Amino acid sequence: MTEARRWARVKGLVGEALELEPGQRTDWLARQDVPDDIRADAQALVDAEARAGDFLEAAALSRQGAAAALFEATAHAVPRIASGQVLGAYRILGQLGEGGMATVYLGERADDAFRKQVAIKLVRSGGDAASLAERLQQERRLLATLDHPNIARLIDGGATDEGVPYVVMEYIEGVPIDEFCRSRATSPAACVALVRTICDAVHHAHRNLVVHRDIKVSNILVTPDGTPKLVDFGIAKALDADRQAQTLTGFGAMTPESASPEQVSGGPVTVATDVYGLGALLYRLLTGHGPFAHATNAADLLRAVCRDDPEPPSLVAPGRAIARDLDLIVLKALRKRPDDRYDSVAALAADLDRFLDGRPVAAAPDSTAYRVRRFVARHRLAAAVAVAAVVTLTAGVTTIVWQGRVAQRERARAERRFDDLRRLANTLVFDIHDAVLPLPGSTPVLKTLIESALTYLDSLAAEARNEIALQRDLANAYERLSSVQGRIGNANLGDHHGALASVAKAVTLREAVVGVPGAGPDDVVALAASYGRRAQLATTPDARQASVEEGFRVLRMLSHTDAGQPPAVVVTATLLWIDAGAHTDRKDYRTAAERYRRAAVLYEQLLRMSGSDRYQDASRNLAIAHKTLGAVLWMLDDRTGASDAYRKALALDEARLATQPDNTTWLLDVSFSLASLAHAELATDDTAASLSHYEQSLALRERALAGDPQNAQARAAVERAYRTLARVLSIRGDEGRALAASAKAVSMARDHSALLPDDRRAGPLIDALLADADVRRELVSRHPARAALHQRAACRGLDEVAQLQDAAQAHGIATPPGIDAESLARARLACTPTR
Amino acid sequence: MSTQRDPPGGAGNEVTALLQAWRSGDAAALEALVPLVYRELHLIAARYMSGERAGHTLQSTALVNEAFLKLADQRVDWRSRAHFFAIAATAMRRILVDHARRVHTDKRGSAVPALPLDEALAVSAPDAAPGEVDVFSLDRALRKLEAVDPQQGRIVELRFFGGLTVEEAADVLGVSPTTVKREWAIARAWLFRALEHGTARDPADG
Repeated sequence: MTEARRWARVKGLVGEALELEPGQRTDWLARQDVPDDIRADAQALVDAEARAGDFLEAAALSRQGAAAALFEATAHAVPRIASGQVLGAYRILGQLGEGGMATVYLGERADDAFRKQVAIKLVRSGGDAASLAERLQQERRLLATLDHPNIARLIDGGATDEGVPYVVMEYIEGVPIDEFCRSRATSPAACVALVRTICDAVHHAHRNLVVHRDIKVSNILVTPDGTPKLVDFGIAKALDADRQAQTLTGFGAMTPESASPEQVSGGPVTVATDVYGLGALLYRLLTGHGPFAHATNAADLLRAVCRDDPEPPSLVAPGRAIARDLDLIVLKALRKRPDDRYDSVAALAADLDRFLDGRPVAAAPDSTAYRVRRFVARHRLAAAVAVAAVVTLTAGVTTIVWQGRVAQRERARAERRFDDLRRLANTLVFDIHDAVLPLPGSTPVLKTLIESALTYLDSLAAEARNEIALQRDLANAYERLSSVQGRIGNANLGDHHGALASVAKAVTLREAVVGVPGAGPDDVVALAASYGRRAQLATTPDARQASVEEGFRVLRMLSHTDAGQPPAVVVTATLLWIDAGAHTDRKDYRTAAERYRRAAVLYEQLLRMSGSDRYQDASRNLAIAHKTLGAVLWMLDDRTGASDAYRKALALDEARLATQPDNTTWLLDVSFSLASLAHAELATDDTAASLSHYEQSLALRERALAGDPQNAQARAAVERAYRTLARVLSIRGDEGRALAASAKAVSMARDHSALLPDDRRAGPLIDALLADADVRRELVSRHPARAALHQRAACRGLDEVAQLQDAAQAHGIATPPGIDAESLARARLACTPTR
Repeated sequence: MSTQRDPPGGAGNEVTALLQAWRSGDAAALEALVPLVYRELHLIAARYMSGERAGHTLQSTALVNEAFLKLADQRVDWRSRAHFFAIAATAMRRILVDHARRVHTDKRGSAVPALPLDEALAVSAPDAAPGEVDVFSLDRALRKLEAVDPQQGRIVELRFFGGLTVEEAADVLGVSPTTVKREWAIARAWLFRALEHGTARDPADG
């Protein structure tokens, strides 16, 4: 027995014993059928628990003297500068503030009759103190080159006795600029004037080849007489005098609040970086928050900085009467590409002057061309990679076309074949696919079909990679292949990785298409749909949400009319639905319910406006939206709402199945609706109705699987149906049928496991074994006479689970899918005799 | 108009960004976070000592909460908050163990052996806080426990060093309070026994 398994057994026994009254524990342990050494260990722990009293119950720090201990223990993390201490020629008066890098103290000249106050900035210790010290030295060197009335002046510098460097600066008795504007209820024009003055300071720095890189409200202090001063050159950088550019060294050297796109993406930092910083500063002063206030955490914020266009300030703060010209200036300063911003801070200052004087400004609204250019720039690299991948993939299958190239006189013939092949491939992918899809037993046929079509299309793409129509065909084909490989909710081959890879290829191809002149709204919708498919296949909620957001973002490129057309509505609804799923994963059920309701409204709209040919999709999607809404309402304890939603879904699913009684997908759809309803009924103790619906559900799944025996989804569905059926039967005390159903579920899971890759093999069987243990536990309480038999069976199951866990761990998988502490604990209960 | 005021230098954003980085698998972010947490804890401890908080009992959670409010950007989601508590518990453990190690070394220098636990309990007055655990030995035993049962180890760290309640620990670990309660009881029993014996054996050896 491995150490882990041994401990698990001891622990299981102790956990059980501790649930009993103290007086009963020893007797109970003595009765257990376990090896003596395990029993002895468990007994020792149970005894120890009795002696332990409230050992460790009071947290480490909840005692007298803890503050002193903590203070002493953490002292090395903080520089010890106390008021009254002398640093060089200065006496410390108190602390002004502190940041991630330095602590700033207020000081005065110790020997001075003037008593002029200064700010002393000292690197904090701990962390990477050496690099922080280096940065402070750099700040000192840079500041030494600057002399401007709106920049805090460098006075002196030195190092403490311990060698900690410090700089002494002019002390600005003022408040941060936003606080100044707020407390004085400053008008937009007065805010602009303050920023205009700061432009002079920044421009002065630029002329001395220093970029500030961290322009933000807390770094601009305004004195009581209204003079703004730029402080904190802590992450400033010397510009290379020759190239006027300097590459950013790392992520650490910026604060997300003020970061520009080039700082986030690691591009070269230039004067344009400070132009951006000034734009962001003005944005904040005008609206009260940064350009990307919708970002809820730092990661979102950084993403938004690189991708999203900020809303015009006048829209964000409608009450402040912000002029349109001011919007234009701010947005121009905030452009993503440094080249699209003002050429210099002087140019920005000149435009601010024009605004203040009431003259027309130079900034112009961004054009559609600007937006398209940005989109293309973002995706050019991705498209190049995709094309390269396709070329590599098809080396060796391009013989036909290649022959056409070498033999000039055969060129015409090759071109004809090219067209023929393309037609053939399209026929394979679409016409035949659509005809075969609803047929039972079609899954392997579809796979072969699509793979051969792809072989052709890949070879064609290598030849004509600039042809937009071909790129579209190829993207469509990859998407079809993806759905056959493993899209959730359809007949599939259970190849999740393949499905994800295929959809990723479709995405990159469509991104390339959208960037090409001649692309239309259909291409935009198709790209959004591909993002949606990728989101559905994503393996983490974060990846899913990111892909959904990409989808919504792309849809915003559509005109109002195009956005109202059925294809765009379908994609919008799908994205909402997927987004709802991501929120469900995060347990944010309220938002999820809201998204599902919005999706349902859109599907209903589609159901009304589409003809009979679209009826099927619209009906299915609406039913799915109802089902998922039901599940979410259930989590919110709205049981009536949930049951209503399930019934609506069932009605839609049954009506659809009636039009094609052998359709595998629709058979499963009806069975899922029935199972949801049955689950709700079981929870409200209507076990008779629940059993009947579970039985109907199982029958439909059996029918689906019989018609298409290779369909992985149908197989898993049948397996689950047996598990749930066994559970209902055990709750109703129907021992014989419960055991038969559970045995069937376990044997199906065994067969299923054998087909899975090593890293996923343990999951289904563990699920089934734990479910069987659960059934046994129910039966023990209903049929006490046969308790021992069921307990033995549960123990055997638990042993096998432990073996599977060990095997999975041997494959480097810490926790195999299917294991969760609750089910394990329940299974252990089943394995141990009750009082 | 309401703007979030960050400490100068943007510590709030820095901590938030580090938490994000740590969550997305950047182990170095933790190393960068711990000194920040240390420093904040130090400042808070100083305030408690100066009597600014006189009349309050120093509770670990209150302390960590205060550090969190001070350090992190308030817009972070609950998951980052849970992670922060987990980090703070780790930091607290390191702080106290380092401290205990120094004390231990001092004691060894003067050849005074640490009292076995049951004696220590007997020595402390009935109303004395039973926190008088030899943290140094506890840490050693805890490492053994962690090797065989990482979840129990984490629970002890969160409960004892982080001062989290059963419910809070359950939230951080993403398991049910019932699970935490059970595992906590077993871990406590095991650790008690290990310290009682003065040697920490592997849990699997009993």
